Amino acid sequence: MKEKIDQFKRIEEVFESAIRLPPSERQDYLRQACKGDSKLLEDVRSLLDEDARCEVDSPTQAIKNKIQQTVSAPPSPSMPDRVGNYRIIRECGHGGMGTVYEAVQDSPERRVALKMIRPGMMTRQLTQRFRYETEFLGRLQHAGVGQIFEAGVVNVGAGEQPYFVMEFIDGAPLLEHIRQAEFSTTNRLMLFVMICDAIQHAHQRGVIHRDLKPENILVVPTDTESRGSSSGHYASMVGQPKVLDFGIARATNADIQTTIQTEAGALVGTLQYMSPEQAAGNSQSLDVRSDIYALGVILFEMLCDRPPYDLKGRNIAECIQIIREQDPSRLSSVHSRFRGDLETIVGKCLEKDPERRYASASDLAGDVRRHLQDEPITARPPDTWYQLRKFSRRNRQLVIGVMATVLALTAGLIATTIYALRADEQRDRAVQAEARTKVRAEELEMVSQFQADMLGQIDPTKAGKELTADVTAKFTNALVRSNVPEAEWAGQIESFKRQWMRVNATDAARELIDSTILKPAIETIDKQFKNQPVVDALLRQTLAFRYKDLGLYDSALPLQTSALTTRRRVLGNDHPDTLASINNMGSLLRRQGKLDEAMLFYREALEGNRRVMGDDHPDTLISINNIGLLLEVMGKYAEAEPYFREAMEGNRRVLGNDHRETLNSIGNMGLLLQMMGKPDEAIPYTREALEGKRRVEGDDHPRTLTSINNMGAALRAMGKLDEAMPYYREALDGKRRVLGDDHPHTLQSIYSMGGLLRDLGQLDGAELLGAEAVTTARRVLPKGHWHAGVYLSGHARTLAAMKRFAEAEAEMLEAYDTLQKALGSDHKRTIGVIKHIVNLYDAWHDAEPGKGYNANAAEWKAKLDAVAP
Amino acid sequence: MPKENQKSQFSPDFPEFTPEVYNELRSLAHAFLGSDRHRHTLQPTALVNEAYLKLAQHPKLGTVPRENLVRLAARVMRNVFVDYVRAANAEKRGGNWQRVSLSAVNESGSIIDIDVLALDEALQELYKLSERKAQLIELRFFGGLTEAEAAASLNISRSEATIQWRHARAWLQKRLRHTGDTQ
Repeated sequence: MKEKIDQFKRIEEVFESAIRLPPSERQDYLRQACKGDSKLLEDVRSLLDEDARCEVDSPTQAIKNKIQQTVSAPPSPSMPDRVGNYRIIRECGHGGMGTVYEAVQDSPERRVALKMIRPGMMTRQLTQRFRYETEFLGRLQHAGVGQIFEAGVVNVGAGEQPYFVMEFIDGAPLLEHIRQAEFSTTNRLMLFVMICDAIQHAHQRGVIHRDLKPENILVVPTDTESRGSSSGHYASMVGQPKVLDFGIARATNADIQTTIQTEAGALVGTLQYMSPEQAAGNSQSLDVRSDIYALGVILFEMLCDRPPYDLKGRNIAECIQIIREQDPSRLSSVHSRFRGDLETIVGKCLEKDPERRYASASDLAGDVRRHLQDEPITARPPDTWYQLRKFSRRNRQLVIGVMATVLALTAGLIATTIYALRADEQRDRAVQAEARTKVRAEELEMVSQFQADMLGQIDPTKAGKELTADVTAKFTNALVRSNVPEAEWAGQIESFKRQWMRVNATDAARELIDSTILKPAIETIDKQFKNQPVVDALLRQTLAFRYKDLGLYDSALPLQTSALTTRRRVLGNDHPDTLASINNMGSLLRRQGKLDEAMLFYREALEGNRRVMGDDHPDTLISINNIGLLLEVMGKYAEAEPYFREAMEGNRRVLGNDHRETLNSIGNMGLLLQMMGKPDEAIPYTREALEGKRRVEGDDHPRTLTSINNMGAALRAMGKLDEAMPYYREALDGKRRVLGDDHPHTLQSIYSMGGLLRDLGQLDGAELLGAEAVTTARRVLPKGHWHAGVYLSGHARTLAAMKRFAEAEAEMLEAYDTLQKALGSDHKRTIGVIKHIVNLYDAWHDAEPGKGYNANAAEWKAKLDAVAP
Repeated sequence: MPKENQKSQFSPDFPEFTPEVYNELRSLAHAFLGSDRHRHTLQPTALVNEAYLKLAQHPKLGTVPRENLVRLAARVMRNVFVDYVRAANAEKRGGNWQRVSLSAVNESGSIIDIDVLALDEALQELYKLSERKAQLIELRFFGGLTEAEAAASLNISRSEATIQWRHARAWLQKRLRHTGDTQ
């Protein structure tokens, strides 16, 4: 097979190069490319012949067409001739829900639209509800509502199918209509008022639309003769809007799940009009104000030709999050002429909190009418007080979110536990818990996954920002209530903000998260999951991750150990979850600087993954990459390279170039080359990783920040100090902001920046950063961590350059001691420090000759020769 | 002895999807296609949309990128299609296994026979030789994607897709021609 693939690749390469050339140059190219290999030449030529044949008369095209024909059976044969009293004329359109036909009713003879819901979508129970609901819909009679004449269930040979018979409307969809008619803003508003009136009619009869969108509103144009004849009436000027499909979403239980259209992207089109409460899935608690929200989106779009949220290219989960959490675009940001009333009106419709929207469609219509008549509207733009309240409300949401996490965790755990206890009373609960039935296991899986997700979402950066907003708002509040004269507020707030800046909000939030969420979560798991080892392990693994991400390695270790032990015992060593935990154990130990132990786990994970998951499985590739990383840390660069290369190439092949893991492994390749002293070879990899991460993960992601730092490091290694500076600065600022001053990743950037400043001769700045790295490392890293040694040697070099030799000596010797213990005497980093020590004593001797420092230098030089001859 | 129908076959090319997702897609595809009970259009985009909605409810899959889903859907279409032809054939032949062919008319009007199984086998071989090219064919044949859409789904440039498509197509044609000769 290997040979076959190689052969394929050779032919492929020559073929693809050849067809990029104009035909006249191909022969020369082929002769040259296949020099002496007549088999290759023949193979490529025959493929080129096939290619040429495709251009003229393509069998593959015929195959493709045939497959498409077979796979897409034409819809026409299924068109029934009659449905009840209706004669079907033609198909008008079809979507995911069903097909719409134009039909003629026998008596009274009239043109109608008949909508058949797809069969198989209705259960018996739903069919009953359908009959009941449609009864109501028939009572809606308003010029602005597409009238429903009849609804029922029919079998035309495809099983029971619900159908609606509606007024046939010969009109254009709303947005198309206003675009074609080139309506002025005034005309658009008139049309909108009429839509509101129709909605109000339905709301008064207890019918909520639930699926309002421009495609559900048709406009019947006014014929030219009647135009102007009754000038007071909006319809005669702008046409009559007809709102369709009232309440159908509910009648067919099709709220969110089945409003599918055939065109790609139509679903996102539907999401666009969904209120935040609908997007949250609370379809039970919907009321008229959800329709008001949709009206707001429609008004925004009628005025601006684009919706208030940009959901293009996003997945559903992201869309829902945007709708629920982001502020919509302001109308005035699209066009300044909308500033004022219209912006206020739209804003009031689009409020996240239903309580803050218009209470009814007629209130909304009333304000638009008042605006049209230049009267003052009732809605008020949000005032500063409101803004402030919104601030603290957002914060309350955070607090509630945190509470909800804890509650959901506890409640979920209790429910699961009771469930498990009841089922497993007589048996050995440990193993049975998951082996009982598949359904059970899946339910457990879902509950625990939910909880794991909740824990996984905790984000110290965001919490830190919220904390800042909260504290500032509270301060302002207190100020307002105090006796401080108003003139001094601004100054006070300013000085408070300066004070607050000194607190690193992310660090504060880290501590808060640890004490308020993670610790209670551990206690809960301890209590509730004695008999659910699989769930217990999952949750502990998740918590271990969180602690690792927060840089709190010591807190992570017992959780990680417990998760792994449990999984080994219950699931066995070959289970993918166990393998994942083995790998995580290795990563944690690596972070703690326990390299030899880490290697044992990494090797076990790799061996297991290769055997169980296969060589090309992403988990295997992660394992390969991890061993490379570890070898690199150990200074075994040449050994690391093949691992990195295998991981990188595998990831490119299996996951694609833009995948997070691929980008990581590309970045690692770059870093390794740089460590090997080949910064110019490193740069293309580092750059590719950086650009990819910026695109895929965003500028502020910790992984992106690492790549930014590495880019700076490569440039620095090439002596391009000025080019390195902006990268170093961006990485350092970003890490301080995103990870906090105390995070181990941040320390690396502090140290790097210190080194760069030293290279540039800015010793004061270098000393400051070097000292920060050293002191913080002493505080947050495990004792004896090799990073601390590196930071010490960096700071010592700066001190030496400042001729503060005694201080430099102390730190440099400590650095040597640390590295020698952590990495070994012959590790490249340890050897590097010996060289620095020699340089230090040489420089000291030059500055203060005759004090015997040359003897120290000689002593260390001997040591150097011993380890690195 | 008829070959196993591979109904539950799940492809390792899609590690992000569980077999449940794959089976879900399969049953959707079967519902669209298969029986004459309801001959609704089977548009891969509709399949993807419907699948996407179902998946969005799944706590782990709501964030699966659309491109991956499109690729998976094309794969499912292919498998269902091959099964469909096999089943149709089995019925005709009273259960005995025979190679079936579909007749197609090419642009110049001459009739060509497609050996569906040969096509399937050729694609399986191509998967081993170059996964991306096999996916390209799958997306365009069975996913109904245009070249631009397929390029986007595979995350390659349009021009790169054209070159790769030409090579894959030529390879496939040659391979199918070769199969025909030997039989």
